[in-house]
Amino acid sequence: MSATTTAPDGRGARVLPATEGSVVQRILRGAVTPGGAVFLLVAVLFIAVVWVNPSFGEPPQLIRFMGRTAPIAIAAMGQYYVIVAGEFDLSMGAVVATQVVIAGNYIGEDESRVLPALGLMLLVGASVGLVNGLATTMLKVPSFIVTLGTMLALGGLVRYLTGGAATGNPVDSFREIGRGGIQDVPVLDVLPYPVIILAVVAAAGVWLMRSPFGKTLIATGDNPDAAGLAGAHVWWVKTRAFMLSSLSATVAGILLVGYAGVHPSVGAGYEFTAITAVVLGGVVLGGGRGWLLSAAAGAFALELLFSFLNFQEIESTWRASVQGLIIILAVAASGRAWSLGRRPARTSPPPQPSSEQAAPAPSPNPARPGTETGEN
Amino acid sequence: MTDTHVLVATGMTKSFFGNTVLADLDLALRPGEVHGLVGENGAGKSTLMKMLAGVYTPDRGTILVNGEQVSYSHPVQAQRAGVSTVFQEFNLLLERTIAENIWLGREPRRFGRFGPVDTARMRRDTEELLTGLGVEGLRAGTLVRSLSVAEQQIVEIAKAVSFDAKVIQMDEPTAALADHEVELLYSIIERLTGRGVAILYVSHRLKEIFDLCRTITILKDGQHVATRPAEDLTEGELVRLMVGRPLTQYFPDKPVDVAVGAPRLTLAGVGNGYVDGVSLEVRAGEIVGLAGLQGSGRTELLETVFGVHPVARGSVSLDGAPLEVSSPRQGVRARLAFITEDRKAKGLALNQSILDNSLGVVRSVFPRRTGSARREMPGVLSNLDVAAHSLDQEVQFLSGGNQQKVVLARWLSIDPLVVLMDEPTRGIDVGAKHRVYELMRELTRQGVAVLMVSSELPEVIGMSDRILVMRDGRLAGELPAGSSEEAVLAMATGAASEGDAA
Amino acid sequence: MSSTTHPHETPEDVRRRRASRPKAARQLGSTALIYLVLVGVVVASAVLTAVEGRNFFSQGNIWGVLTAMSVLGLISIGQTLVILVGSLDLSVPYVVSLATLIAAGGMKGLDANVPAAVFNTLVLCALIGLVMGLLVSLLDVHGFIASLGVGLIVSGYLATNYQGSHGAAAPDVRLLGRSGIAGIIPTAFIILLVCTLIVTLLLRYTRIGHHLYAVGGNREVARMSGVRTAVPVIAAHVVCSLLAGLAGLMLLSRTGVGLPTIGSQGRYDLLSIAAVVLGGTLLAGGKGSVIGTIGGVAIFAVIDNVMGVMQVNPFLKDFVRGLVIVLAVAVYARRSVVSRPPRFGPDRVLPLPGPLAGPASPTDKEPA
Repeated sequence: MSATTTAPDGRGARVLPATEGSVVQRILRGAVTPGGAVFLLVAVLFIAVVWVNPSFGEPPQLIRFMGRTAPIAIAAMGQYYVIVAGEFDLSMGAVVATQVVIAGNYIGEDESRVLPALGLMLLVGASVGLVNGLATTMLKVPSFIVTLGTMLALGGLVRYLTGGAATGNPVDSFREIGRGGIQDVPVLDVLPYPVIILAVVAAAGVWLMRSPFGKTLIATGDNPDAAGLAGAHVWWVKTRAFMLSSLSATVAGILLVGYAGVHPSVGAGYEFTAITAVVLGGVVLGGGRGWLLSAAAGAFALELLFSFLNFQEIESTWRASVQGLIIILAVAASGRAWSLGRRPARTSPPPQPSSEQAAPAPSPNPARPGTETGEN
Repeated sequence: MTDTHVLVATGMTKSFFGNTVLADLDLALRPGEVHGLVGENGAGKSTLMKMLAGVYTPDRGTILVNGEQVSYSHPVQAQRAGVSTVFQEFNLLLERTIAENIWLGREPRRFGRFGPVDTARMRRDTEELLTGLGVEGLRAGTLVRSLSVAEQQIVEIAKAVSFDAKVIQMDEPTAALADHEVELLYSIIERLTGRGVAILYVSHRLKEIFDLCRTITILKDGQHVATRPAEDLTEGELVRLMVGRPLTQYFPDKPVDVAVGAPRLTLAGVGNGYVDGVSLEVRAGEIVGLAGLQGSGRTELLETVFGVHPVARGSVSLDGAPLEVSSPRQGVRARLAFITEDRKAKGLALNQSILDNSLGVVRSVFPRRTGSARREMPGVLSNLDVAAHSLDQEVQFLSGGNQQKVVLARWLSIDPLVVLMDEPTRGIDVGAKHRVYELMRELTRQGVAVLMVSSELPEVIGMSDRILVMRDGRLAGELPAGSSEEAVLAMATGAASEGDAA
Repeated sequence: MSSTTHPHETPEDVRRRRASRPKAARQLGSTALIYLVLVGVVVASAVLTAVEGRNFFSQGNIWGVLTAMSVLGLISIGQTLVILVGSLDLSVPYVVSLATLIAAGGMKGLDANVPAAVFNTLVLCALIGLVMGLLVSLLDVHGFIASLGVGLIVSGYLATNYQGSHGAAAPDVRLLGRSGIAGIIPTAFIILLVCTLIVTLLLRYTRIGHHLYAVGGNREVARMSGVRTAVPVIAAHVVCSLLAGLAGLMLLSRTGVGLPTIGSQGRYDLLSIAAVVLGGTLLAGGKGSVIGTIGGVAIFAVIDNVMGVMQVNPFLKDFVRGLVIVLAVAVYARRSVVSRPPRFGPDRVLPLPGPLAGPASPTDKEPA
């Protein structure tokens, strides 16, 4: 960037600091955002649960809880990639079910098939994501329709191949992935494998979001037009997000086999739980805003909430209602907050009527930015 | 005065974000008269129209219609007060019929308040309106989407008339019409004025202004310049009134050490759906200004070079070698930079930080260079005098000028050979403007070729080494540096050339 | 959607455009198309059925197809309204289930309870629709989210309070579920036709109907013309939920008991959306017809019927449905793109679709 080397004299402009304020200030600022507030929510809910059920706070119990939550947290992170890109993936549940069924049917009691099965599962996961991504970007079908269609098609296919019934559990060594852990760990008793896998997936995800791809992903969700003009292949960026989402559902499925067994209805509704977790984590539907770890934290917050309700003798069948309520409240709230900041006063240029047959991508849209001065 | 005028607007003033766009404007329209409103881009014409149309509320000023003061805060109120507007961007529902569009919100009902919609009456009334305008062959039940632009405009006019408008404003009505359609419009206007309707006619096309208007009001920089009877003016005088202004703007001197080199960007007969037969060249170290009116195709030309639109005819070459760019990504790879007209809509990701935005292009196309770009970026940004709390700050909270600087930083990071700029200083403060101009000069020192689209005539004249003027999708001509504003505008509008141009 | 200014057209272009203009009134294009497709599907089904040694047009078969159409048809009419206005309703399966349960629980097998039970059911459904309508119009929440959330809330209530069948339909109601004309046309189908007629008339001859199309087509344009944009949105959601409730009552007349999973099993959310899209209604709103939707419903019912006759695995049906939905939307999405005439020349070059052409036309700027 040679233009910068010719600094005319008298230019005493200071170099901007990377971030403003001390570490403490930054943390405080972050805590106020929805993405940061979810961590506080986790803390509050944790305290509430422990208060109601003190043994929950014992390390062995706690780590087991984290192991149980790992699949949904991984799924939430997968959904994060798609949502931050401005899309939706409603096929997660069907992907989970598919993977579970593959595990049951393909592996059976044959130990040697474990590794090929894992390979097959990842391949299937990636393919579903690829189909979702291409159908959304190339066929210009709204992602919620595409993924609803995939959900239906995949679900039907799986049930067709299995005759609609559970066909037995895979060999124990495979189930160990979801069920087992490192034994004889001090303090914790057992460190469940899912927790380790979660940590690895989260770390990889954080690294990914800090890479050029991750930054481009968020920028694409924020403003696809600008990203396209900056040279990004918007269709490929989004398709990769879908693939990450389906692969995350795959990993979640692998873990679920461990303790949920094999049944075509495993993972049903997973996508809605994942979306709730993401929304709770302060990620904006419509894209461009939100952190990966907040989505995972949202999953933990959700599970803590459910645990709390459980201990309060509220039936687990109310979960769906709780999710529905959270989704509506979170979207309405962020929509208001968003448009309050962005809605133009009547004295500024009105938004231009869109002349495209815009797909109804659900998003609390900010008022369309116009040029600054009134033209002409 | 109020006895003979159908609309009197006094003291109309409007500011946006502290920028005064229109100051203390007076306007008076007589019934049955076509009153022309002219001024270059940014003069305030559209703001005035929108205030009269009820889209904006004036900060100050009064409007009298037929002697009675009116104030409105919604377009429907303006229409009921008798002021209707035909905007350049039509307010039509494509999937509905002509009748349904015209009567939207006022659908006539049978049997009073609770009866069904009287579709037969809608159809009859619509046909009456259309014949009243002298239009044959349009049926009330036709879908608007299947109409031509001219026909859609007729629907808008009919809608205006259906409100019993005493004043009809028309914003650039012929911008998209073919010649024979313009004649139809003329005849419609004649009918309307025959009925006593006053027409406020906003246009850049001076021929039409002189064909139709009895009186002309000229605006410049948000101020009223003059209101004169059309017969007292010639096209040349009109252009002079539109632009004459003291050159108080500062532009950096052209550096003496810049040797303009070989042609960098060459277009030969380039054409597609938007532009036709464009041949030009921009040499290394040169700034070529591209002037023209709104809708002349300048932005589309830049977009074509950059790869947003395909090149259907002709060819483009870069540094002598043919350039085939069919996507922005290829444009970036070829080291073209494109600074768009609307930075918020197409240039930046508003929720992301300064740093992330400035690395946006590198990350998308040259991800491996991210590390080094990241190290140099703070220096680049401070060199551009970006004023912010930190690199972490979200771009949406920056002023327009700082936002534009981030856009520039974003594109500088790929070391471009050619920089395509579309309205580079629109909506930014004076200090930022100067910095942008200085940057452009720095770029030329490095042999970068700059093609700059601008609607600010002082800027085009002050910064360009050569000025190309576009009109209606084609190149109208070339003017040397230092030409007069009148000369540029005359070429842009196609006014008859005057002896003292340039 | 409002158009923007188009560039010059030669007189030739104008003449060409005039010639290609649909001669009759609107909608004939897509509605006629869908019914043409329906005819084709029926013919194909008749052939396939004959191959299996059965008669597609037998009394029993026709009865079966029309019955299958009725419930989905009612729901799809409601979905049409909601989509026309620019929203969506994913809560229909749960509202349908809820309706069967509330009605059955209210009737308790007695004719005397019927009016009250029906009234309560429909009022409850209307309220649910009202909530969604308010969320969408006043809180600016997109229909997809609002209906998803409300649907989840209802589903939780259902899962908690109902474990299996509940209540009992009154004998008169059950009779209605079995009655029909000449054993060919079920009463349910007649109800569907009546509702179709009423809704079509409402759309064409009431201000709300006109405004519904306007708000769905371009909310800003509607607002600028003084339309109160919240009204059609709320009305559409209320009517949609009411029709879902009615569909639930219809199901109850057949099953005789309330069932908490009957709605989700029927996949009425996806299928109704698919029928609406197949019928030519734009997913973004503003264009479409209920009659077209019924055509879409008919196509699904016939395909289902023939797959049943051919003893196609029911799970494979879902696979086919999923595929059909996506393709239907894709095809219609392409058709609905307004192609802008170029400023220059008959050799207009449209942007190349495909991976190499860069961003999927987000920057298609019209010359202005």
